Amino acid sequence: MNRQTLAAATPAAAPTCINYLSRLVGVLCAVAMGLSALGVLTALGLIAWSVVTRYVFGNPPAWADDVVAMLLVAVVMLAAGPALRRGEHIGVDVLTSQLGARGRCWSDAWAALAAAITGAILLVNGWDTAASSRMMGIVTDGEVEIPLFWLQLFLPLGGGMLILVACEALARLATGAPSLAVSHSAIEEASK
Amino acid sequence: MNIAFLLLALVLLLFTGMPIFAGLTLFGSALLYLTSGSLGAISDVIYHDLNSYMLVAIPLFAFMAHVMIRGRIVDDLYNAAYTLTRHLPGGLAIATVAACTVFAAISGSSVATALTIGAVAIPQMIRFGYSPRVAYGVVAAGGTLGILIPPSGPMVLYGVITDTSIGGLFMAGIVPGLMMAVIFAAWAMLSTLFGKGRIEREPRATWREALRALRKSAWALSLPVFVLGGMYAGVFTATEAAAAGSVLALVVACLIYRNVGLRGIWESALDASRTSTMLFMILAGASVFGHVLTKLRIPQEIVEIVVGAHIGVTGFLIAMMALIFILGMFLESIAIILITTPVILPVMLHLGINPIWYGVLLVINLELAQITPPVGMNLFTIKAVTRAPMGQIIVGSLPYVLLLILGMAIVMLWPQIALWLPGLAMHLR
Repeated sequence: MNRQTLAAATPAAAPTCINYLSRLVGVLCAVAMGLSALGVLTALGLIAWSVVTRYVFGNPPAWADDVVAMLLVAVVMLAAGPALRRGEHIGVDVLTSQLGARGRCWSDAWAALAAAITGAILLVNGWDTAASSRMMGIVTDGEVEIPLFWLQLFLPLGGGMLILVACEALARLATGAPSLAVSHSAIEEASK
Repeated sequence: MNIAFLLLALVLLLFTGMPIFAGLTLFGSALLYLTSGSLGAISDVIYHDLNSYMLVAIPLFAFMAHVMIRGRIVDDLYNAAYTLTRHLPGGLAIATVAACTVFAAISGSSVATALTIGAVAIPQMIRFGYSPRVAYGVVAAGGTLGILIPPSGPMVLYGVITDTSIGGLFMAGIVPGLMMAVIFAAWAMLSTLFGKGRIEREPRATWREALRALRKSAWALSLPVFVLGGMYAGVFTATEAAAAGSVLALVVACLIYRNVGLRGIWESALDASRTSTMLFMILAGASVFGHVLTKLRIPQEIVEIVVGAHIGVTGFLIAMMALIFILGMFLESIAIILITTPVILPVMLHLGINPIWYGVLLVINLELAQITPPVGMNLFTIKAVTRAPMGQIIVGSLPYVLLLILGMAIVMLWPQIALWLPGLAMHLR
């Protein structure tokens, strides 16, 4: 089982329009990934602070747990696209890894298409859900009462990022441009 | 609708090579659309499954592990283990298992454990005359302890899905984890004693040497004690323990070992975010799949089938473990938990199976999945570390596959091995 790669069968120089698209997607992914990592550090800080205030001041902030849970949705949806771009989502490649270059190209295109359709589902369904939450004026449960649709909007955002990255991958495959997706295995990740 | 057909169709779809999260979401969405004519609010289902305070423990444990890996504490840990065991037959192999056991209690990940310990242990073992096959097998198997000995990412996920105490699951993993470590170490010792080749043994370490080695590794050893001790003493919840462990890891790596700076912290946060996103996107897909299964009343159908078959608890468990073993050859552990658990949870409850016991059996089976071909993450890890032929790694790991099956059978026959500690400490029976 390897992470998804979208390597082209016959790498060639990328056309200019693909380079522009790649640059745009690259910047968006870098920003999204940075915000996601910031979310992890914020969650860590909030929980640590909550523990300290509970034992030192005897008065933990009741809202911290709710905010941390909300942050998780943002962390995941922001990083979903960048992770796809780096070929980090796990797939079963027992069969596809046996294919030749042309077969791999088709299987990569199939994987990118699947990610794009999933992104489209998240985008359309997530947008509709957020819109209906907004219309009904639903707020979050618990100590922090904020309009739910603000948080639900992270799903269409994540879906949109998946579509962008998948489109870039498909465009690269279609034009024979070299893939930007790096085959980062869990092993390489852990060894950093 | 035929559950076997559905599961087979899903597995076949995943075999086309698409990302697992996409396969689960598309399959679930298609089923939902075909049966009810619309997707409903599936993004609301995903949102509510991800919006969980308990799940935050996973990125935080991942962050802790990444900080400790960057802190390079493993050298001291391995030296301490070797100093204590070097006089025994197979001392270096035993030290490797011991280091894996302690590192498992820090990292919560099998791949991270096999990789980190493997990079240090495999060259050493080969240098001291161990057959490469033995070295690969010990590290691949020792690495699997990463998900059984707490903290464990798969246990957190399983706990959230089944609404089982994560602290209880963590505690239930300790004795079986240590038991597996002892079984692995015993096998390593026996295979060295009766195996081919001559392996040099060093003299027993003096008390002074042993104390010096232990003192150097004290910080590494303190982390699991702090995290698990804090949880079981009731000081922290699982999520808080992950945060507290992360803070301690930062103190150790930044201030004591001085191997991690601001850049290292940021990179660890990026890695933690990526690792957990990969996992949570599968959770998102599985929540769509689980939602549609519930709507189609598939779990109830399975309950009826199992009850009608009169196979009893043991028969059901053996059948499930066999199925998961087969799935484990091809699928990733997290996907197995997320696909199978919602389907069989009602059966477990109906048959009165303790979810903590089942959780431990499941995780031992997932350990097997790490070292069974063709898809075994630890096998790939060893391959990446050593560039050795895959056949040699698989042959080296085979005895440990049998030992893990033995361990699973022991826990199945004597549930108290898993349930005694949580029962004692947390009154969870």
